[in-house]
Amino acid sequence: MNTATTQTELQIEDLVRPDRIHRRVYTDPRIFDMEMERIFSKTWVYVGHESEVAQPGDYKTARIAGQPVILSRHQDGKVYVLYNRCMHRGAILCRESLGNSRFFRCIYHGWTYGSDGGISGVPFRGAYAPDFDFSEFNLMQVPRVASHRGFVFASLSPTGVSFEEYLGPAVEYLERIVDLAPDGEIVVSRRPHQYDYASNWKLQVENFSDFYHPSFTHESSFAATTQSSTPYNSQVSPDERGATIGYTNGHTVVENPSGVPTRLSSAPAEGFRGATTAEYAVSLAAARGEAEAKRLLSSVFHLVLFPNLVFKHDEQTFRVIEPISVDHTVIRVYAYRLKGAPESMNDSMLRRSGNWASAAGFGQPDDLEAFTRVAEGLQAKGPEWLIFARGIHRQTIGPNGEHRGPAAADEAHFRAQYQYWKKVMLEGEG
Amino acid sequence: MSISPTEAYEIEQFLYLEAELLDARKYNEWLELVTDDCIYWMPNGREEIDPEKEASLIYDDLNLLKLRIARMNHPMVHAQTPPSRLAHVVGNIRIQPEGDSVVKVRSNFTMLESRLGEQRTFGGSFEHTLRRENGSWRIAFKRIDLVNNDGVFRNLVFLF
Repeated sequence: MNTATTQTELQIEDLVRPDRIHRRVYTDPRIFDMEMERIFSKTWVYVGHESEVAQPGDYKTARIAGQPVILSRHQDGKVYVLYNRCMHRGAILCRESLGNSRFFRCIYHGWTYGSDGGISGVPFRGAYAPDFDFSEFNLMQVPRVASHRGFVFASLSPTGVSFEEYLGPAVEYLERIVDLAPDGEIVVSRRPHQYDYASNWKLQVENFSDFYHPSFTHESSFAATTQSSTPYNSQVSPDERGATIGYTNGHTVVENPSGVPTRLSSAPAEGFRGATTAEYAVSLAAARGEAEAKRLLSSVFHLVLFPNLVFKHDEQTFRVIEPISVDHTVIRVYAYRLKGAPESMNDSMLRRSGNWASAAGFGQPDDLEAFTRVAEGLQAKGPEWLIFARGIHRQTIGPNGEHRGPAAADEAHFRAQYQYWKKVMLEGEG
Repeated sequence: MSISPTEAYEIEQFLYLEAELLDARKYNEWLELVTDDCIYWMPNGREEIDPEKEASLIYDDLNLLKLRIARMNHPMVHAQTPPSRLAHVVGNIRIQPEGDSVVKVRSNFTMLESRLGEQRTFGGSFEHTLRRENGSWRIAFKRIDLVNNDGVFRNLVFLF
């Protein structure tokens, strides 16, 4: 075992304390590299949604642990996740973020592959020996691909936790998100909002489950929109409402945080946030039954599927987190339509999706400002810790080992998430 | 239909006045230049879409513009604390009359932005629809196409 790795490993043990996390977790490039290897190259990572590649030949490009891949729908109806890399001399095959093509052709020597990655054309192949085996050179598929309710995940590791285990009990919340569509399916926009910031990827993951920050970070937006027909504000103290869950596999849920209206309570008129209509409630009740529809419409929660997928169903959006380096992160925000919901409502939700979440939005930019300030502040090495102590005196451990906190702005879920982080970072050394 | 040199000059000066207000982030004064039914639209990609049905960087009617400006003027707007320094350059102005008191104006622009020691350059094209109301030009429609609108952005908490 090499000394440098051992040193880092021992330090990982010490970087995660019961109520605080060491600054190096957010600033050390060696820890970032370990995360790419031990988390992003091992576990299940979200790649794209089946509705983004609905037709044979449809594709989109993405990255897993910085490695370029293509999500492609083949003529056989199946989706494939292929390394975006010509098998000949290593050129990246496809530079478009999305498109439709019956084949991928490398610009360098013209090697051609089908949308399932099968090698279909090699120019001037006569110079290769007669027994040269081209079947070795189909585009390489990533080792494991799985999908649930259209969300396609991939793992760069042939072994490890099964997809079902990866989702675990948090899958219940994913079902709720998609069940909000009367037809039980969502259609994802092929046009995400895209922004980046000069700080660590985990800041966005945490911020998404942070209901302590809104009235401070988003003060200007709350003040401006208070009088609007669909206000976005936090009048109720964050200590008084909601609950948090931190599962043992890294996922988190924050339920019923203050200030986020349910789909039942959204004003029917179009406003800042988009329109939830009575017509929609009726069609959902017809599809799911009154009781279930009411349950779905009256719950609101933020779901984080660790490491890279976070959901804000009251806005009909989810965010995909792409870590570039220890202090550079790209986020894409995808709005989606609920199949079976009134078209005008879906139009409204997509049209308004940028209001909070675009780079020009009311909300996102102030979060990014906070993240950037954290990156700069953490350049100070004297103060070493980031504090995650809210609710430590009143958290409980649930029946499946999950951490539970009795208020949305408690931090039991962050503590659980870092326990998981520590576990996989240490495991990876085996 | 054609436009007189005097009218063309007026319209160009109007665009420069607009740019001057936007440079100074004088958004309440800029609001006085828009019609009640105005639309301010900044698409977020190259492909042509219906902004009523798809996501955009900004797609505001007057109500949303007012909310946006109230937020940008708020003392606790962290994304603009400190505020950006801005400089628009507007050129390649071509004017197309559309009726008695309506013109469509296409122009190109660049905009420099400096904040916290970092300078960014933006640019692309504007499409304005201007309407004469009570003797003055007003903006009924403004579309901004950034050359990099399919890209990845840091904060864009200002009007282009």
